[in-house]
Amino acid sequence: MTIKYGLDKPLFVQYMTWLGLVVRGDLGHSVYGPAVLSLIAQRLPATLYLAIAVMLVAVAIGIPLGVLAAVKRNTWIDRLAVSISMLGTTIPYFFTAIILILVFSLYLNVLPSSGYASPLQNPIDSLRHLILPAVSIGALYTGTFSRITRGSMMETLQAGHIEFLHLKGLPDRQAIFPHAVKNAMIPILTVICLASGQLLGGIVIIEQIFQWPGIGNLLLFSIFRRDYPLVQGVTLVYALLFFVINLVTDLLYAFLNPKIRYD
Amino acid sequence: MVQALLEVKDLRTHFFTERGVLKAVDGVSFSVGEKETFGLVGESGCGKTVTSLSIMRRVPYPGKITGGEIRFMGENLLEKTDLEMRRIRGKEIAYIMQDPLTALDPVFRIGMQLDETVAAHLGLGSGEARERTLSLLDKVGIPSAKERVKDYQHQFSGGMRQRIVISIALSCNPKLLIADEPTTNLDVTIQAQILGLIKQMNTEFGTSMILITHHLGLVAETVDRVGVMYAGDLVELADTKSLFNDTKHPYTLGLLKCIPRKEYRGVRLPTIGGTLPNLVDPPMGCKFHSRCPFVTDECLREKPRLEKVGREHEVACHHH
Amino acid sequence: MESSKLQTGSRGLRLFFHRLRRQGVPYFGFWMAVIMILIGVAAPIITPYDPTLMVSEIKFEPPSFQHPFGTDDLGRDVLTRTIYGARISLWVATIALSIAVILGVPLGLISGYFGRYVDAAIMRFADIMLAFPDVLLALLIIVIIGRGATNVGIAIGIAWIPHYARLMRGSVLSVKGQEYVEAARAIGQTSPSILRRVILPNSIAPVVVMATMTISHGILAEAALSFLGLGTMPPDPSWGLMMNTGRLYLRTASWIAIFPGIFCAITVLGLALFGDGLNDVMNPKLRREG
Repeated sequence: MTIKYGLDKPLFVQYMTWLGLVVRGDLGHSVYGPAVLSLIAQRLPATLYLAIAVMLVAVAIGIPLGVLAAVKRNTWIDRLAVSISMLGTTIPYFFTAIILILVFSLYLNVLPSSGYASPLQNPIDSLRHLILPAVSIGALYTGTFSRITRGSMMETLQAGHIEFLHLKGLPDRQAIFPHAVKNAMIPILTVICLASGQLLGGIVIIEQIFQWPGIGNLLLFSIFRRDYPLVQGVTLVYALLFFVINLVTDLLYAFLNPKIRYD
Repeated sequence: MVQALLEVKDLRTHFFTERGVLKAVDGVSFSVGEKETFGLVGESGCGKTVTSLSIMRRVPYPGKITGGEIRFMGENLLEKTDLEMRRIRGKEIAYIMQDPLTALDPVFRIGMQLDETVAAHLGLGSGEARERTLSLLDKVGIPSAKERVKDYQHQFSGGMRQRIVISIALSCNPKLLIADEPTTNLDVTIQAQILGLIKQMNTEFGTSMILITHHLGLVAETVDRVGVMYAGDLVELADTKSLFNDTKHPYTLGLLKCIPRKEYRGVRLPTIGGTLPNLVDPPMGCKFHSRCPFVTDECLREKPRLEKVGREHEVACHHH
Repeated sequence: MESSKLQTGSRGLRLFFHRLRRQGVPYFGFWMAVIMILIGVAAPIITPYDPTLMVSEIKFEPPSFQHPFGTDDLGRDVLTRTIYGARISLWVATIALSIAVILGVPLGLISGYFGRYVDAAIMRFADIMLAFPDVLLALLIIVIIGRGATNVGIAIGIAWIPHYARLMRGSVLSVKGQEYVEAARAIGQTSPSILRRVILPNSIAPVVVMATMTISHGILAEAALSFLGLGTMPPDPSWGLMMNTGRLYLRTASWIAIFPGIFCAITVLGLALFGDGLNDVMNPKLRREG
């Protein structure tokens, strides 16, 4: 078997051979048979589905919350938003997951505690399966985005050019607000992109808990079964995903910040 | 007598801080007539910026205007609602901040920043607004305005930026322009240019101006009348000529002596000894008494009020 | 410079606590975390039972007077195990912090001080590491070096090295350009002494803030990885491991998973609240308008 897998050749050669194959799209075969690439391709959509859902929710709730908190500083809204984001970011998400399962699956029995249903074939059921995993880890990112947005907005609202807008006598909603938001968005967007990267990491655990058939689960599976070709393959895919995310972040940043664009 | 454009009467603005109530502006009165330039002079911390912000009613927390009147075109600004003030800011009274870099928004094109002002106050449509923007930029001396409207703030030099700020300020033909140290952050060579531009624009638009500066020399050439502030009080008020030729207040005298001159070459520059009084707990009597070479008992007991000593000359000093 | 100069010694400590006390919530968080740490340290003394003692007759007992947190699937007392869990978390956090600081700080200093190639090389490495999210990086390191609580600590420690390196490098660079460094050189001060006297004292504050993050991260990562089965090995009582086991019996014996989870959450929460306020405590800037 050693000779069959070329394990007798030096490590460097093995690595190079592997790279060569990868470039050609061949990620090899799992120790147990099926091609790595097909295994990954099967499961990647599920992970992406979950990840995108989480990000959408976190952005849709977290950012407006943060903006509201900044605009209504020191009122009960602000304090509430800060408390919510604090809770979201500190309570470990796997604990949240467990509690949610306990309450919604076991006691109330309204949501399934594990599994996955394709959104294309069965949208409602798919949503039911999506809620708990998405909320468990979504709370973390909602909290993070809310905090960052609040901080960034607060800082922006103090800026000289915003004060100048006031001195120009421009109305709050039509002028001050768009100016402030656009200025504040730049650091916020970088954080969103960074968070996307982090999310891919945390999703591994969520997939485990909820038996979600994604590549995170696949990674764990392959580690435990010492299926090294599979481990390598999944790691590679992860690395690629991060690369893409970083690239998008840089591009987005350049697009938003005129200074970089025109220099 | 023609009613002045702006009349400030006994303005008091206090800052309610953790360490006590800071009396930044402690009873200041002056007036600015139509098409007149008024210079407000004083060292850092004397209250000149706070005075101007009070007129705009944009005093930052924890400050509050606690007394007095600010009459603009006959109406008391302190009685106006937020909405009414908003309509006045930018349209009737314009403001130029010290640092053009902070005034302009870095993520929006400069053309848009002009457009929005003009559109908001004059109700112009986007086409007309852009036309006006272009002509304004032209007027302040921005070359190839048509191409440059699409540029961002960082693509201009400091002097150019200030020109843009000036054009924004004057875009709606305000009656009064408040310029807070408009040239302090610029290169010395550009300073004269910008000041000249401001004067030119004022004449063209018929705008009155309050020029705030710590540099007495600057006002000599530029303004019609001068008010000297010290520690929240107005200590001398006169037309420029009288102020320089017939200086009355000891503080002003001290300031004049401090201006670097040919005669001082090789000699230590004279200074005014002592430091600013504590604005939270000001001393009794004249606030300048600890640094005044002419101090007497009376100065320690009673705070002097502004009194007329000439046709256009008022001084707050017991010795006049 | 005045306000950021760190006071050392007991006077500094008293000042620190005075400022911390003024900040309500972070003060509370500080004590939350400290209590947890103390519980962990005092585990053998305060726990009624042996954490690994399995008594099959009393499996799955709900919380009662003899077993306030109930018993788990092997008849062990959950309260005892939860308290010992704090020990493990503490252990992991300590290892992680030590590795990260002992290796990361000097790297950053060297990088910032020598500049050019050394700097570029070290920073490239750091960038590569930082490109990966924490959980995955730790996971990969564990795959390479094997499981176990100690290894989790090592993995987290390694993962945090680039953060500390970056931080120190930033400190060095910002000081390097300052005028007083030139002045110090002019009067004959040598580089190491400048490093020691100027850079180090000023970097303590951000390093301490980062340390609280490393610690809470270490605790969370240990729990997460143990949860996955890649961290602490049974029968050691790790919060993550207990939560994982508890998950299987969630319907029938939820206490197995809940209590460790609560303890974990409280510790991390306390650290987070404390860390948040720490910044304000160590750099008391004049408060701007409210």
